[in-house]
Amino acid sequence: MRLPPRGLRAGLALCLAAGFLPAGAAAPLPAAQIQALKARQSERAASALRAAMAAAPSLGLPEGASLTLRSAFTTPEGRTVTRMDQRLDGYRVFGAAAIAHVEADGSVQVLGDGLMPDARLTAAPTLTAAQASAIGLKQAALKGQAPAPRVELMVFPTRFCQGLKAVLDAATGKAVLDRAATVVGRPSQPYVWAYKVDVTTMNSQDGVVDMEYLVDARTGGILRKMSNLRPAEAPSRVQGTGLGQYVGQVTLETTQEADGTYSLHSQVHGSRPNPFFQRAYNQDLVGLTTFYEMHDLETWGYISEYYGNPDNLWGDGFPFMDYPNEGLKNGETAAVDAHYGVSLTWDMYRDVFGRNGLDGDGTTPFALVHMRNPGTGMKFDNAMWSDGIFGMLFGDGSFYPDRLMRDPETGLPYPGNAQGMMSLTELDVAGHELSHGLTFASAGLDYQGESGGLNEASSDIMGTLVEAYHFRPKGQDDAIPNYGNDWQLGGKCRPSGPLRYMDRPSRDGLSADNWYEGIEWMEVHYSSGPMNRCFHFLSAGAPADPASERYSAYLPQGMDGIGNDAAGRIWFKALTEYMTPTTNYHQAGAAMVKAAGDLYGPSSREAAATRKALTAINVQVDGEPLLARVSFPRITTGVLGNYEGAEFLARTAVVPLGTTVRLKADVANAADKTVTWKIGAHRAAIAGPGEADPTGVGVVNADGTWTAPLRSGFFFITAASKARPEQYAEGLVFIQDLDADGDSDQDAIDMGASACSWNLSQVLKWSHSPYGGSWVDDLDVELFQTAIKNAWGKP
Amino acid sequence: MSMSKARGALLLLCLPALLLLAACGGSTSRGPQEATGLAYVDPQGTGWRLVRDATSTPTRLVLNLVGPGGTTCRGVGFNLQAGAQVRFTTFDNGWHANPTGVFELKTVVVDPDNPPATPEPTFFAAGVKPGNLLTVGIFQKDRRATAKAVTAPVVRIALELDPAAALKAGDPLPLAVAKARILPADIGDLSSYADVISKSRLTDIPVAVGTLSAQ
Repeated sequence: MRLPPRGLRAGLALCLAAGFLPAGAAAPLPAAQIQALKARQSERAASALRAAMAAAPSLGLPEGASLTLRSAFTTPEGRTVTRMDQRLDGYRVFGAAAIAHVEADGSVQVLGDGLMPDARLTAAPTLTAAQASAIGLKQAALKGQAPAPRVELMVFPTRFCQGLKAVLDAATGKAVLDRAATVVGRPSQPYVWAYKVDVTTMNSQDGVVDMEYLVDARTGGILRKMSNLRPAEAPSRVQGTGLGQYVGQVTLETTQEADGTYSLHSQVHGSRPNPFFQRAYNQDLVGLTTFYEMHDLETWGYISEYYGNPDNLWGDGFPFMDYPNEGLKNGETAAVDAHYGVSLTWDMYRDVFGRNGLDGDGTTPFALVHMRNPGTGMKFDNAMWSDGIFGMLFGDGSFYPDRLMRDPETGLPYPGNAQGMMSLTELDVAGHELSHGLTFASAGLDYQGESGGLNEASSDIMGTLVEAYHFRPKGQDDAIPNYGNDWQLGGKCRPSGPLRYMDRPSRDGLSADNWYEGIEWMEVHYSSGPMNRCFHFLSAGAPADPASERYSAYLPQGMDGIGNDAAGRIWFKALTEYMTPTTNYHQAGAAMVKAAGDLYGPSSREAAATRKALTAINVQVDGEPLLARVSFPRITTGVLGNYEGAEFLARTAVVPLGTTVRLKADVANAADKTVTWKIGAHRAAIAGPGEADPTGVGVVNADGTWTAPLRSGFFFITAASKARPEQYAEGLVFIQDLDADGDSDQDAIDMGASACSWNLSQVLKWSHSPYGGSWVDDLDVELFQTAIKNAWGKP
Repeated sequence: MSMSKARGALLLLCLPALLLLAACGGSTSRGPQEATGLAYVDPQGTGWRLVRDATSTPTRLVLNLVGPGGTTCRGVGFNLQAGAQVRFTTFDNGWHANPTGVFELKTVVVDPDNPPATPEPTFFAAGVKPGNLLTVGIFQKDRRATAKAVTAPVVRIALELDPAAALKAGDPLPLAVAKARILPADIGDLSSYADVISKSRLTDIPVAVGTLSAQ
């Protein structure tokens, strides 16, 4: 059963000025007053920490728990937002965080919604940090040099163990199980000691690697592995002119070097050194710098800064075709777009939202263009942010032929891919990538499950806002206009269609339009859909006409929008001041309502619009009538099953081929508990490895009984409230053939045959893997056990 | 006093008391009593067989699977067919069978650089298929583990009489092993693919089952 939405109110503790709650909008303070508050920021953050510790009992924190400062920044309204990590016996609890707001008058609010009061530990670690580091490095299997991994012993909530992971199969366009990224098994305890091992490097053999491994500190087992790559004496400061492929002619912040030439290095975007360059190269890189990868068959993967430009004129405005001359004029074009886009986003943070860069402290990011696929060397259809290198990487896309890489059989260059991208440096994409850095340095939204979708949505929102900001009237840098953004992400860089539609996300055939139970295991670029749409509604309004493509059945009366500027401020404040790593859709909704109240007053038109926009995507916030909710019961058998953070595993039923099972669904907040069943999902596809619209798999009876077909694989199931059909839940059934010994009978004896191939590099017989893989490992063992228990175990 | 003589003396002491209790019950019926549990007589022989475990109670019959002396293997699985009047029950582990610790179910060598999942899944499972067919499997998954002797119980199962069965004490109940296989000790040497492919297979075994009746 899913927990009911937890509003921020539940974790609210009022301290010092007891009873303080802002009654209306908080207006920006005069600059001098803000400066005075910023000068006392450390002191104010310390007072926030003291208040939070004093409130620890009311927040439910146990003995031995403590909070430590993580970051602080001061808003234009004079609020110092202080983020704190929860610790147990001095060790950080993964994902657990508190926020404290110190208002201008010194009053403090502590928000404990992101804490984990039940964190407890029993047995002590047995592995050393050095052993954990070695495990992480072995997992990463690097070919080139890398700085020593960063290792931190921490308390890990096992519900964030990885479980099964899906990956999109480029050949079929269908998601399949990603065995390399899958982590099977989960400790039975709710919390364990774990080492967080960060392996980060950037070299020609490995490309950019930014991997995070959570290693069980007692067993050495991998609990979770995540890539932190998020796909998509200074001389004088000067301004150059660039000609970008997407932005046209723009002014660029550059630097004039001692020899009189110019480099693509801004001195106004970043005041503190990039942490990766310090750690890996012992260099202080201060100020946004745009690099490039230079490629030819001899010097493949060489990385260089753009420098030595004699006239401070950059790029030619044309798509990059001039391999291997990434450093020359045509190659500069992508750099112009990236450098400008990142700079403009930074400016928007500063001038509209009053934030100094990503972390509020001016830490320098960097950009790298012309990145190739590190594995294949081919042109790269992606752009990404990396937490570990605190920088962005932009590929050239495969739309145009790859003149560098040649087909070994024909000797001809690889032809262009009509579905591929052009350079991924379009303005909103650049804003999107930099804004992953903002999320990393503020809310830290975990990149899986619902929080992962919100992470992606936040970047899309900032991307579309910077697209509008590009068209702001001269001299009006402190507001975002209501025009200029097309509500598409990457609307120009992919000729076959944009990456995402914010006004109707499902137009891409993949994304969700509204929140529903089960969205947590959708791939994060698609589960961003509802929040993107919510933001669109908040800004531009929603129609009441059912014939409109933008119509929402959850808000049939429609709504008026409040514009880009107000909507952007609400989202920015919610993200940076209220959200924590584990925030889900409903908590994000509560954060937005709170932020709208802070900015415009709780009874304001903006706050009311925020509630409506959330309602329009089926997100309920506190104080509204409870909606009917459908959910699948959690399957607790087996260690495969059912924890937060897994993309699609939660509530997945694993059953043997052809057996009859009874599917179950819970209906809350409705007198009529009956549901209607459907095999398949509502949309064309979602990013689990399931068949969204299977045929020949039978029907589910009204009582939930269903005879699984004689066809293995993943199948989506949907249960909708009979009384409220717009409320539904999606889940998965995984049907597997257990007949490993080939006697046309599925039983527990088959496990013996499967054991014959366990841990061999090649399966002895195909039937030995119930998953149908080319080897047998613990995933097969786990699926075997789970299927038998689900089909024939204790009712 | 020897142990057998002591038991005999105890029975003699109890007999009058049992007769007295029967008289006080006032029953005049001479027919069999309604059954409330299961009785089981172990099978003859020294091969694979299901034998009664000492933890059995009047209402819950626990059976052990034991194997012949001199035999080693890497695991065993069997399907046991019972009539509708009998229910297979679960153990504390939630399964319809309980490992006894003879077989080494987990990975043998925990390489710190390549550890198993936690907790490690095993080739052990049991359940009741439609038609009241108990299926049990318990196998070593790691071929580096040595094969094990099977004279001690390798796995346990448990049965109860269905209260709705309305049987009389002494009524016979069907119980038969429909299929049983072991994973043999020799499943091939990894240095020879041909050896592995020819020997890595299950082998059929007969399993003797005793006499089950209501009591």
